[in-house]
Amino acid sequence: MFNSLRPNSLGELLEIIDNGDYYIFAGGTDLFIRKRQWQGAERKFDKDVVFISHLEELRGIFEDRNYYRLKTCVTQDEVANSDLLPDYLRIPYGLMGNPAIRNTATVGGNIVNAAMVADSLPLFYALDAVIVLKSIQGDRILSIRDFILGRYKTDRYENEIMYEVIIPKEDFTGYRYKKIGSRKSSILSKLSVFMVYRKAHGKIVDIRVSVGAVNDVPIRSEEAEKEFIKDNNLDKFLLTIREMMEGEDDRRSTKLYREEIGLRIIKNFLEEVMEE
Amino acid sequence: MKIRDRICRVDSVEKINGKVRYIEDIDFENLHFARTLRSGIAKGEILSIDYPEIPDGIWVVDASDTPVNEVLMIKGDMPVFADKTVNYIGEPIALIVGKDKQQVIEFMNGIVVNYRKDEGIFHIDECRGHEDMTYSSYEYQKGDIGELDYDDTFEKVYSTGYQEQLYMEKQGLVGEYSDNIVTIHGSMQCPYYIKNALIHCTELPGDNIRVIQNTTGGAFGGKEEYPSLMACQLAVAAMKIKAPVELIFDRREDILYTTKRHPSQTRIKTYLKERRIVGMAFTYELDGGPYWGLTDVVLQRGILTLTGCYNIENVKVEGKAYKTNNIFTGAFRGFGAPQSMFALEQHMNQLARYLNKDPIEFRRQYFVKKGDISATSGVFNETIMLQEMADKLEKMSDYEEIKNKKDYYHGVGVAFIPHGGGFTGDGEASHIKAVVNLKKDESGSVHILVSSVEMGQGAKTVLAKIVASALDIGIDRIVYDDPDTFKVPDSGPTVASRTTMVVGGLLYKAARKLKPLMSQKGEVLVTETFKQPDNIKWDQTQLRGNAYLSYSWAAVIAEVEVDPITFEIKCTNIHGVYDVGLPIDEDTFIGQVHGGVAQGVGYGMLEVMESIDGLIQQNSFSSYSVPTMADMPRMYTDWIYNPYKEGPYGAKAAGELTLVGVAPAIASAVQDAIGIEINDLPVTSEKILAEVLR
Repeated sequence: MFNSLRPNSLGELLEIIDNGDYYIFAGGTDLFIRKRQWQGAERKFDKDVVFISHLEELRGIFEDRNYYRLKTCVTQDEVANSDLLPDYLRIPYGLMGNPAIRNTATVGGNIVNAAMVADSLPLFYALDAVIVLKSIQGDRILSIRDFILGRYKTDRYENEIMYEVIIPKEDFTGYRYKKIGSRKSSILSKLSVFMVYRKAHGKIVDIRVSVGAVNDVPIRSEEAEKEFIKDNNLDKFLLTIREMMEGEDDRRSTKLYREEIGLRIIKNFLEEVMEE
Repeated sequence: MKIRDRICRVDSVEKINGKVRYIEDIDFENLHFARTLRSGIAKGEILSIDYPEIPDGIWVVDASDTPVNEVLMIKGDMPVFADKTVNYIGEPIALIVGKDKQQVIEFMNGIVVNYRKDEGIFHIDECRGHEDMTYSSYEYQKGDIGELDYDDTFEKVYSTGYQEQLYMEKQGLVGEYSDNIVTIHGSMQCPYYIKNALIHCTELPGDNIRVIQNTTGGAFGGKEEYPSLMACQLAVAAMKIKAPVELIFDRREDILYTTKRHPSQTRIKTYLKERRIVGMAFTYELDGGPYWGLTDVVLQRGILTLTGCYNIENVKVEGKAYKTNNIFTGAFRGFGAPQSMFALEQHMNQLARYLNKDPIEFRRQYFVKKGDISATSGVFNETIMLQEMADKLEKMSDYEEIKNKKDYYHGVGVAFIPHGGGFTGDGEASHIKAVVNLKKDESGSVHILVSSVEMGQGAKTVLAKIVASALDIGIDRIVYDDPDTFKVPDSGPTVASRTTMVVGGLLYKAARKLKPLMSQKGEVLVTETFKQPDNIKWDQTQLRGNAYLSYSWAAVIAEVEVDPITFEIKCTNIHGVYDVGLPIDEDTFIGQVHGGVAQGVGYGMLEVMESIDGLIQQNSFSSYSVPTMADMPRMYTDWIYNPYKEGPYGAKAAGELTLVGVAPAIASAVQDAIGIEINDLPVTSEKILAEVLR
């Protein structure tokens, strides 16, 4: 048996999670599936469950001069159809899961779950996003890289809620995104590549490339990006990324495919951008 | 009504508005729930089972409760519950039954099974040449391949993987026992297969066994033999507990442990003389899993039409099915033909390329026609219109234009497929002996009394239409309830694309008999029994003669685009021309085509299912990727009329045919697009990359 709690406010939520260990249930598209044991029987929750998706304080997409802010319970569909957000966020969100999943699954869930196949993480890595965690003691602000510790591992304390993700606004010239799954829809990625860039006077002045679903966490090398801006040496850039790849054979794909095709996509993206 | 009238499917409204009740929706008083205790190893001996203290309300049902511990399929080698030895991962050892699911789960969590583990056999390469690992072995010849005059040979090996039926409604049955009668309700294709298995297992007389089908949400062969196992377990459980017991699998359980399409390997060696085929030799092998099941029959369907749509003068065919410790393989739409036809059609495409000929032109030289001798040395009795079908296909697909598209990542592939309707050889007459009844009641309604089931394929619509047309009455006067073995005769299993052609044919004859009696007062019952047409001759020991009552034909073109950077494949178009005699209901037939294409696209390029040491790796909707709407090609469908004398209104088999040609057409299109050889299904981006880098 387990208890279900439904706090009436963010304050109440923070009180609750400060006094015990809970499953925090937002969209539930992953958690609810993972905890099943037999259709018609109780879910196997070994801790009490606290529901949060009804809390208005955890919803909404905002912008100010320098940042976009996505609250944790914003659904994937709300991102995909937002009037505020740029295409480089909207389009990848529109390719996640399927319509039913996107209407329920949340921005926060995809991040906190920290699955290697989480499609939002490569975006946030490339965009230098920041995670805001709230607890009764106050806020903690971490870069996405410091927040994600590994496969299914984050730096969230038990008494914290992931409150929002903050994305710096940049004047990008364009973006590229490629997600590959074993079918066209309703599928977890076996590989994804995200790139944003800025060009000035025909030269690349900012480039960010991240690769998802190959390693436990997204691959990105700021060092290699800086070098590339200086020398435009594509082979050198690809070599650095190749050396960072630790793909595996699993039921979705092969190490060879993930690594080779990941590099082919990056090469193609960069060549396109250089020629533009 | 008339047979060509367009009607709404008779079962669509209640399925769309949600009124229909599947087995899981039905309440039974005092219902108990069963969960299966399964083997955790692929091969070995059960040394002991440590059960926690059995609390009130929990029952353990196992081999010791089972009167005859055999599930009668073709043989009875599969136990109802594993007793001492286990032969595959997931093999049932016991049912744990209780009214409270949570209590059942808690009890199951405390069970420890102690095994002595043995080395399992997981690949057919390990079985070759071992008598004890071979279920069946067949060989037949036409002409003399040993005495051939040839100047060249072309030899390739083809392989295919598992495929899961993935019916929307999972396996589910309820067993009851009262007044010394065992009743099984649920999702199934073959009520009388279950009845016969229950007679064998319970040793009750046939009159004490009742099987009632419920609305069945898809089957595709997956509910042909497998429910017999579940029904035996439930009968034993219900007899022990004296209460109704429900066994409904969870999706993962269903994907992991129920029957799959047989993985195969086919070697084809073609002998050429002056660039013409003079002989072909085939070796066709199947992974039959741990028990006989229906493997022997799947093997026969795989090998009996191995020369496909072609008249080859000298043929040698060897077929073997092996015993492994992989998952139980069984019936699945196509039944051995998707494997053998992939091999043959891909071989024909590669041969055409080798001889520098257009793949359709190349095939035309060899198309069978009426009067030709088949691979099994029977005479093709019917008109065969493959040339006309090829003409139609070329025209509808703009073949000349699409095959010359210059984009190097666009490809066109071709397949021509025969499919024999009904049971193999004389099986309809010697094994099935179908009986149908038609009953006019006092109100003037006509009841179709058959054991054939509606499982989504359209049987209720098609059979009702045949009877209503033959009687020239409105379809609303036809009653066709889900079969109950206490009420309907054995018209055979709902398999082998036989329902329209064979059962529909008998119903048509029965309706013709009934027509002059319609004005009689009171109830009128007419019966019709299958008789083998005189021109069908079959020798089962030699595999010689007419392998099927009649053949349906398919001509398919697939167009694909391959992404030159990622090697992702998109099947853009499927063009198909079919000869099913006459489609009884055109919309239902188009539904069969679209469903067949979906399952064929899955088999051809999406549905990767790998087994590691006997355990299936892709065990959910998220990891086993059947096509979504976004993966579906545009489908262009047409047919020719070529009525079959014995079929109702000329109708032949339609159900399986539409699936079989899709995968080979896609594989050859990918081959055409990127110029590498595809010899293994499904074609995936990973395989293409590995081949490109080789």
